[in-house]
Amino acid sequence: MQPPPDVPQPPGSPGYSESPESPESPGSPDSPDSARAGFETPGPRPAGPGTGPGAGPGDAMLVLRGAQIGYTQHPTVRSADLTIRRNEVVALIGPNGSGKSTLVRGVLGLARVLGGEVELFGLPASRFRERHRIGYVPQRHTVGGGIPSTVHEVVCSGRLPRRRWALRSNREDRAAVAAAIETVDLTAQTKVPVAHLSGGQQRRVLIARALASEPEIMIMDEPTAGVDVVHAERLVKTLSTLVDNGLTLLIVTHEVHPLRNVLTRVVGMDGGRITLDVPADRLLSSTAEAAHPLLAADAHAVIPPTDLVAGWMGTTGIGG
Amino acid sequence: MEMLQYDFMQRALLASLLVGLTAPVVGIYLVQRRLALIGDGMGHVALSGVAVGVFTGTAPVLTALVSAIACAVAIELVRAKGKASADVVLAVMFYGGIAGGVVLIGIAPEGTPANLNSYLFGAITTTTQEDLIAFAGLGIAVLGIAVGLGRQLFAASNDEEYARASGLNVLGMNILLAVLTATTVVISMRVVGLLLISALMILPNAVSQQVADSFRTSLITAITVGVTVSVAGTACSYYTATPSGGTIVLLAVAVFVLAALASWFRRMVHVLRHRPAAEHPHEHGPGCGHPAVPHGDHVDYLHDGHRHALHGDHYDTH
Repeated sequence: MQPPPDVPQPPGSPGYSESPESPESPGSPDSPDSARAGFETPGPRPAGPGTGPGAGPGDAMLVLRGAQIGYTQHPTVRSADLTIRRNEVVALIGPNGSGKSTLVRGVLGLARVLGGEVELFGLPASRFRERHRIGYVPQRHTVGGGIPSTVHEVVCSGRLPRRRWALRSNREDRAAVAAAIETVDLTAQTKVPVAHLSGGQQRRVLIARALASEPEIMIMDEPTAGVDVVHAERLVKTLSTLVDNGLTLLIVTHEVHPLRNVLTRVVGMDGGRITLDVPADRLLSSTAEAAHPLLAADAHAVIPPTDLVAGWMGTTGIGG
Repeated sequence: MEMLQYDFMQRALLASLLVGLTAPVVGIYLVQRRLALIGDGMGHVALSGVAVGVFTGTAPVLTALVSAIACAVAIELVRAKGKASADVVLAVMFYGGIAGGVVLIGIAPEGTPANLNSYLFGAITTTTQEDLIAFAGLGIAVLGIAVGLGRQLFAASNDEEYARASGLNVLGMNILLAVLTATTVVISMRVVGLLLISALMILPNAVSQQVADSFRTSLITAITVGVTVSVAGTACSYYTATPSGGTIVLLAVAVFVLAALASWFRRMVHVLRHRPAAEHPHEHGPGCGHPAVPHGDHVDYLHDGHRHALHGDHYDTH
């Protein structure tokens, strides 16, 4: 048995101050449950201040310094340096086997940190206990096991990181679960068994489960893989609502294009190393490309992001 | 009720009530994890334990309990740390358990395989006062854990990876569940027998799978079915003079077949009345512009003079 999750931890390590909000204050401005309802604010998201690698150092949520991550003694991810700050929306891209899923699984405690440092909210990952601050949406097409479970029941399990030893849901739990289901627009299906839902809806159930713990950062593994264009657009609409409400996102993906309107930064991996780290708006402009050798393939044309990434993959010898 | 005049039948009915109540509660998490056969595997290992008891002259129930629990913990550790998958570990348990039991009984001085019969197939009419106390203790422990750790057991069996990322001690939960399974198998073996106890854990949940819509109703359905078939099966075996374990399990199978037929019939009616809407790129939802009309357990949206209800990946006309 593990100790209760919400043990207060001392402030973070040098150079990275703790986030100003106490994680336990339910009404903190960053908890995305305050104004989740509705989808009335879709559309392109301008890259605002505090985005991109150049933002101030104060709000680091996730820091990797020379991190070696893997499943055996042999690391899949080698000496990764990465800092994700509050309000960033980061795509982690790369070919199959590049180590992007392993990297986030190391952050989540599902893969082993074999060397270097992984810090979550200013604490070494091994000492980090406030798991509810990180929402996780696994790469999966279906939810649920052998026994029928409703949308509500599955999303309720997302409250576990917040109130581990509670016997029953309290009013706060029910409100958070209802808000999470509302955000992904499944309120009408609350009592429907998840097995009766379409693949796209089941993915939204997984997002709602991650939202139920009222996280500050959400890590998503391939949310658009195998999703058709209509449903991918819906997903992006949901994500932009969440981002508008202050959620930070780290999205492992093959496809930058469907996410172009919400991204603030694109990080690329190849062969277990981070080889690309640029603000997303630079992928859309023509002038800045030349600044980055990996993106200099065609500096005189406005290149759609997917082509740029394909070009980058070409330069790394993997092929897009 | 003529049979209630006999003390042994009173004890038998009480024992079947307790086992019928307890076994499905453990079983629901096994089915949720898609490990329906693990109880059977533990039964085989417990057989070896019984044989050790017979061989060494110690209480067979105790040796069976020790071997089943040791095996339960070993399985979870092998699954978590080793390379073997769940089904292969199960197969090893099946073969090793039965072979160990047969060999040990074979070389036991006064032992013959016939000694195993009451453990293999159960003899509920031999339930003693002490057995009843053990069943009650087991029932209280299982129900207490199911209530106290229900949310964690659900999360760990529903999505192991997500539960681990949430900081849940998944290995601990799995070992707890395996120990509960082993204990249930061994304590219940006197009633339905080692070979049939896992049926009482799984079959009521198989019925739920057919008829229930949520985990909660599944649990209620499974307990209801478990209690009903085990009490009715015991009573039935009194009149028909059939082995109680087999009678209970046959009743459970009958209930499952009925439930499967009912579920199939319900689906057929649904399919016959099913009118999917034409090509429908618009997605209805709150604030989509179409008036929402509550309709039973779902919401319809008024759309061009008819009502659309979401059904999987398309809309039905209601």
